[in-house]
Amino acid sequence: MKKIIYQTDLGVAVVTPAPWCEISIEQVAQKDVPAGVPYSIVDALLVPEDRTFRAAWEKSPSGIIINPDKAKAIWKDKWRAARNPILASLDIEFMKAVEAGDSAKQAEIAAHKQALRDVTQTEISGNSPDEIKAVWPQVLGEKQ
Amino acid sequence: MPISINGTGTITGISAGGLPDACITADDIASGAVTSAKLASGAVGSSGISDGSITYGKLSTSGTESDNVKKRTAVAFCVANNGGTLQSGGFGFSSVTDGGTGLLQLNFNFTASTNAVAVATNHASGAMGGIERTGLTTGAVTFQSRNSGGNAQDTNISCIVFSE
Repeated sequence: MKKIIYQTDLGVAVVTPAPWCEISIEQVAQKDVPAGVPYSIVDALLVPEDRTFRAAWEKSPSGIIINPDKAKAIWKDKWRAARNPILASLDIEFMKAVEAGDSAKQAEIAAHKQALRDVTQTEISGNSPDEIKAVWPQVLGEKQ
Repeated sequence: MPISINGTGTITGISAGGLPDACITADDIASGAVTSAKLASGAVGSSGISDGSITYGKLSTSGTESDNVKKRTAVAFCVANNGGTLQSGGFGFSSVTDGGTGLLQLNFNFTASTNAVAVATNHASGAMGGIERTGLTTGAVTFQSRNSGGNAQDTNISCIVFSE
């Protein structure tokens, strides 16, 4: 099966003909790719199935590549989403510690919160999607 | 009336009732001789219409609201998967363009009218924020699906389009 890919302002667009389409993929490209935009017809196997880093897809001469810098930014956004409920929970625990006058607990919670704030500074050394997804700081709890 | 065979090659004096049953067959009727004006009102019942013979092109586009059948008939339908493919069983689309997370452009295989209507619903089981129709032209309709936090999220959608 073939697909059509072309670059857009948002990244890369992937056109898939309808199963009932009776015109050729070249004709689909002529009709459904914006006029004047360069496109490529590629094997469907060259389009990633994993959409975790969809916003990091870029068109290349050989198909679609995943921009590692964009993928890392996307992965760190997942960290941010994962830490938000933890921070909210710690805020409540901190207030309870303040009400109880437990300064040791306050310091412990403050350190935990700071570790969460610093989590996005964690280095992601690998560049492949699997290597990036393998990095999940312990402070965030179970991987989401 | 007596039957006369005239020198001009015509026969007179024959009445419809004077012919034996079944003596005139379809082969005896000139091609194109039976016009719609010669059919009695109600002569062709639904049983006289071949299965599948009434096509979309034969539906009325009358300017009279109550007579316009095409206005009430969907011109396109599909189920689009979140990965940017169309499931079998739809019609009216040539392709789907996966423009990004939750962003699907459904490309028509016809030219829609400028007052076409396209609606979609999602198949998500989780918390979805909704589907926004971000574009509708004579050639395509575009939907952006989002989660309850307002962020773009992939989902399967069903879409139906009406257009004169």
